[in-house]
Amino acid sequence: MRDRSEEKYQALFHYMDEAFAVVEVLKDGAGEWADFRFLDANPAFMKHTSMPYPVGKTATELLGNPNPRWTALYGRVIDTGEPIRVEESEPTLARTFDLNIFALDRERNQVAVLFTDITERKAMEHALRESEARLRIATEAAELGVWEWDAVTDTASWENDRPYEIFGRDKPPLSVATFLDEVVHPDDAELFRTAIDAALKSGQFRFTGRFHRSDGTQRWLESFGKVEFAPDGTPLRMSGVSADVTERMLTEQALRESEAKFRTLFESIDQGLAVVEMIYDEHGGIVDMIFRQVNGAYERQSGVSDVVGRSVHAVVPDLEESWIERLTRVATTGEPERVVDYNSHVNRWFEAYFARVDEEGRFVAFVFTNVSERKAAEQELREREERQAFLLKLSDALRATPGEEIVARAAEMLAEELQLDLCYVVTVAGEEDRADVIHQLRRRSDMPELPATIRLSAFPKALATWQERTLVSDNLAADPDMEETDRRNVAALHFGGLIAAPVRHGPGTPIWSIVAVMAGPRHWTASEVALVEETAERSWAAVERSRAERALRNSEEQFRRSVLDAPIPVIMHAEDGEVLQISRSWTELTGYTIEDSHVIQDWLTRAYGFGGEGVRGAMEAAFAPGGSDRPMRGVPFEIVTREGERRSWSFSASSPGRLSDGRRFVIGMAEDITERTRAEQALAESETLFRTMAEVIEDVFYVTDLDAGRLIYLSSTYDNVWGRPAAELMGDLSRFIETIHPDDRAEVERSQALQASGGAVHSEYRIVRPDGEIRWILDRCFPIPDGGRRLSAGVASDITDRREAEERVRAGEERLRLLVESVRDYAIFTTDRDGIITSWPAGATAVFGWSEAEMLGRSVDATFTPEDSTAGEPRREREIAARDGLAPNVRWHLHKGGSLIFIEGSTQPLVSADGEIREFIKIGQDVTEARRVQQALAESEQRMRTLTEGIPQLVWRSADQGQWTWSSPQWQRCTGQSLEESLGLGWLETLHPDDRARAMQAWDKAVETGGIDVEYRVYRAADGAYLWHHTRSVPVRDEGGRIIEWLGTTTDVQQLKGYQERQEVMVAELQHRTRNLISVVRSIAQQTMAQTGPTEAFRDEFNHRLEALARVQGLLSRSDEEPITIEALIRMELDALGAKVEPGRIDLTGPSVRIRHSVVQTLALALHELATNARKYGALSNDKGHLDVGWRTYCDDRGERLALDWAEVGGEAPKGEGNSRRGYGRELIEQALPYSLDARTSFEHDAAGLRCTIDMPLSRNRKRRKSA
Amino acid sequence: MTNSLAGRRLILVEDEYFLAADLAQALRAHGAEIIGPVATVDDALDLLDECEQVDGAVLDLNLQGEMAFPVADALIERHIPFVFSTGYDRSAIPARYAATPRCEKPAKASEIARALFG
Repeated sequence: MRDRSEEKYQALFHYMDEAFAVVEVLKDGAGEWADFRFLDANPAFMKHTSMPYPVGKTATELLGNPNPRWTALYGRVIDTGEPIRVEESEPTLARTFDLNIFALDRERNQVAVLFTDITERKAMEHALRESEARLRIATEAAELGVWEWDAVTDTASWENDRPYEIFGRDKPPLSVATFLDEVVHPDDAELFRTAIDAALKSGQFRFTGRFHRSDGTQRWLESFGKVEFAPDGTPLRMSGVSADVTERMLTEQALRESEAKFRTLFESIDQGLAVVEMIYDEHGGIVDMIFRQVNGAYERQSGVSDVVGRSVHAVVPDLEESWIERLTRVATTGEPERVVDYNSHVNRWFEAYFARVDEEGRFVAFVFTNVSERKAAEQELREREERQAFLLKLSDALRATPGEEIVARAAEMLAEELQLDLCYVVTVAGEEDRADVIHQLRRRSDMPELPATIRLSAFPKALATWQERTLVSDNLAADPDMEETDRRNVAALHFGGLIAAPVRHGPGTPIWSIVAVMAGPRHWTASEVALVEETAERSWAAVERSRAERALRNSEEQFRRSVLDAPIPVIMHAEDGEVLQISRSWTELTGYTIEDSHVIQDWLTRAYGFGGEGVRGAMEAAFAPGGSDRPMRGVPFEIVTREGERRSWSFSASSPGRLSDGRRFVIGMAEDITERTRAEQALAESETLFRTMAEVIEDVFYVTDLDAGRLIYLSSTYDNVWGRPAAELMGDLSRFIETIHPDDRAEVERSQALQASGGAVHSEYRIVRPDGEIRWILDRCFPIPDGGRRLSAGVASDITDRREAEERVRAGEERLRLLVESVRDYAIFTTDRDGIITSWPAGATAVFGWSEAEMLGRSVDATFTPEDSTAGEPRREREIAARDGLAPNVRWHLHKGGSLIFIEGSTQPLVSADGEIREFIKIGQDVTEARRVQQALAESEQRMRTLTEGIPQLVWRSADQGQWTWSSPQWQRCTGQSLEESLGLGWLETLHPDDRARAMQAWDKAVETGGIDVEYRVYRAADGAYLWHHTRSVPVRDEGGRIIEWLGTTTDVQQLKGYQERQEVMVAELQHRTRNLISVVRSIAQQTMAQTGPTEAFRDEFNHRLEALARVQGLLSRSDEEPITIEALIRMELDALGAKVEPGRIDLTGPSVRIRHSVVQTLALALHELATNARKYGALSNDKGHLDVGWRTYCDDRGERLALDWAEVGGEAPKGEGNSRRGYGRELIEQALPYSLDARTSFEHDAAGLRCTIDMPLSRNRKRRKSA
Repeated sequence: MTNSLAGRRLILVEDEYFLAADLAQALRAHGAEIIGPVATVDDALDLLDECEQVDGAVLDLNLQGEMAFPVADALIERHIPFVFSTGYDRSAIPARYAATPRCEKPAKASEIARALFG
């Protein structure tokens, strides 16, 4: 039983994590504590100290010059008996320990020390203090007030002087109550209360609100805090920072207002605006461009929808290289660009402004307007003007050309104008499947001559088309619209591009045609087609007119008829004003017949508007002398029809001719240009409207003709904003890009491109004024309807002030963010989608140790432990983050130095607007120390549990006053109590009734003395015995020092005590005996000599007595294994004499009686004397004698006694009176035994034999003291 | 050598009969008057209570397995000078008796005289 207990004790001793040592504290000669010697140490001792096995050595021997405090502390524990808990360093070991020192045996100067190595923890605490110092510096620099608030007492303390400045008071608010009562703005008081309540639950405090300075001004305060909780979740205190953020709040407010205004504007304008993000590869090359933001007008203007988040290339697959180049250029150079460019994807022209948004060139914005219509209108106008010029020239030429040469002249002019390879004219006889080439002009020698007659059916499809409308083909021989027959036959003619303009004579099949031919392919513009058509019409008209004139000469009537049949309005009147003939076409267009217009004045009165007078005058003057030289040409005017509709005519009049009756006459011809004029007028009106609108807008307003790529309008405010003359830009729009900040040019060009594609564009860009000043412009442009033209209107606002405010705010927030990061030891860095680190700020370096240069471009795997990396954790983390939006990252990481750090944080994807993951951001806080503490706590609790249930001690937990809350299974096994029975004061029932009061007294004083140390007897269920137990308990305290509970052990000391006492006694006995022995031997010698003198007899007796002494020592040394009994002592002495114990000769009669060690020696010597005496002179000196030794035990009032009777029969008779045998033996029995052993003895020697009795106490129970 | 023991009344506490007898004889030879000897703690304490005048004491530490500290404490209480006559090391003697002289057994009367009375 004892050994098993010992085993457990040893196991605990060996396996406990805390170092444990027993030392003996040593004094110097002056009686001062001077050193200590290790008496015992467990294996953990070596681990915690790195010292060699210390037992047997003194501290000085081991360490040379140990910290003198050790000896002093140990000495004090011995002096006072009070345990000490202390943290102390040992410089020679470079370690710091947390020790519990308690007295083990004060009499023997022994103390026990239980301790752990806390060097590392102390170092961390030191580092923390340093970090706090850094934080203070940082907070000072950041103008932060740093505070700590005790949640229990509602008291706050401030660490620096900043709060005085913030609050403008003698003292800052020192409690929540004060803050609420005196400082916070009443409207924000509730907010503050809510923030505090939330913080006490969540741990995070954040408050932004208004407060009053003592000077009455209202300011804004922003506070962040973090709450610390007790293990039971009670909030203990909160630490945090506060700053006056009034400036920021006001700016933010202003910004919000401005932003709201901007938003409204942004979405309300009609220009397309897009922001594109440039995606760079590792070499800095742009590999992609992603739409990030577009305004509402974007889609309308660009004609492309749903672009945000998508690649430019995906949105516009066949985007012209010029756009890409422009975006790239603007992004890389930062030079804004303004362009008008074409995009084939949406077939639009855009006027766009490109500008880089940020310094890095990641974002390029462009504002654009779809200028396709404008562009088209411009083009058409230009071509129309050219066409008009040509047609006028043609008309003039043809008029002067004799009838038979008209066709050739027209073909020549057309071929020249259009640079044709071949131009020919045919008259068609459809029903005969025949076209007669009446003229052909070949301008290329390699073009084959056309046959005089072309068979129409050789070109079935072409013919069919031509009969419907003008046949236009860029390359007839390869035209998919043609039939194989057409293509084959055309190829034979070497025709490429072709326009065949038919001319009809009234409804029905065309009768005449001019054909423009190219040897190769040619893209015909609408204008060119129109030109051919007009030429055809006019040529034919000229031919017809020539015929008519010829006919007139032949026959007036015939002429008149021809006038009647003219396809255009024609009037013929005589010089006296009589209208001779009007064409049917005239009647069709005006509703007036010749009956309605007998005289010329009849219709001239219907001529109105601009040009009306001119026509009237010209007509009236037609017959005036000299007037014949000035035929009237193309005079525009308006004529009112019978229905009252106004039509625009362009009027020409021939020179006078002469009728058969001798009167002169004039032919007037009109061209109805109503539709054309109407369109032109509408344009003029809408432009007027534009200008009116534009002038009332304060910002720069502009209208761009997208197709022409030039400004139609630019408001005069441009001069003020741009600092340049508007005329400059009006003259050449391409110069706009020069006014853009270089960084923004690409973006502006993009915007322009978008604008040109017909979308609304919103963009922000910088302009550089001639004086060097840079201004921010918000440019919004949007397409406007303009009949045929593609126009874009835009508003450019000067937003420089707003942008600057935004910049300031952004910078301020960045600073705050950085500060908060650095303050809280956060590592924040980013990786790309494959885990390659893309940013590594200072916070990350602080946490992980690696510098930015070391980590950029490296895989994030480097921060994981090799095990986690191998297991694919980094990838898994990214996958989870990608899937869930957030992946917790709470694990051990690798520090540069190779150590492990515990990071608590997360990985989140940075998702672009199109939902694609661009990067991952990793945010982590180094909680290694907290984790270590936490883990240590868990381990400690595990250890605790293992210990409490594994050790032989009975362990329990209790509230104050012995109110147990838990008892270990051991307690329940020992006492037979159930857990429930032991709780509260239930355990008291198991104590010996006499000890209960003592146990409760210990609890009464427990808080005062800081522990329980008491012995009492505890009931053992197994046998009903009360066994002595030593109960110790120490309080478990929280960080605030308050007692949470008591942890106690109740140890069975019954066996341990007996064992320890026994050991102590044994050791002491040994010393005592060996020393005493010498004295005894000396005395024996003296006594012997006194009897014998220094003779041979002395030597014999002396030797025999020494031998007896030696025998008893041997017996004593074996007493552990073999208890010493009275019989053993007697036999030992008889054996030494060679006397055999046999019935009838030597009888030993008595129970087995153990003799305690302290009396064995004296008793053994007495028995030796008796035995020797019997052998020499008594019952054993002859064959007949008989020795009878009997003993028994009995009890008297002082305890158990032994009564021994030594009776001899036979032997020598006594030699004389008073001299009974030998002096020493007799003195020993009669004097020494009573003296030393408290024995009663008798010694009688008569003729019958010797009889000796020894009656002695067996137990140690002392004699009753006389005075007691 | 002056006989410092002459006329002194000494209590002798020694559990070994023959040692006690020898030492008593030796001390008497130096002129001391011996009270006792006694072999147990209780007897020693009784003697102290009974005797009017005690000039000194010789104290064996181990009395039949019982430590003689109560006697030592009683002597200190009465300001009676005494010596330990013992086989124990000094280390085995409690610190509070650090001032008490110790004579190693077997003790000579002259040593005891010097230890007690200088």
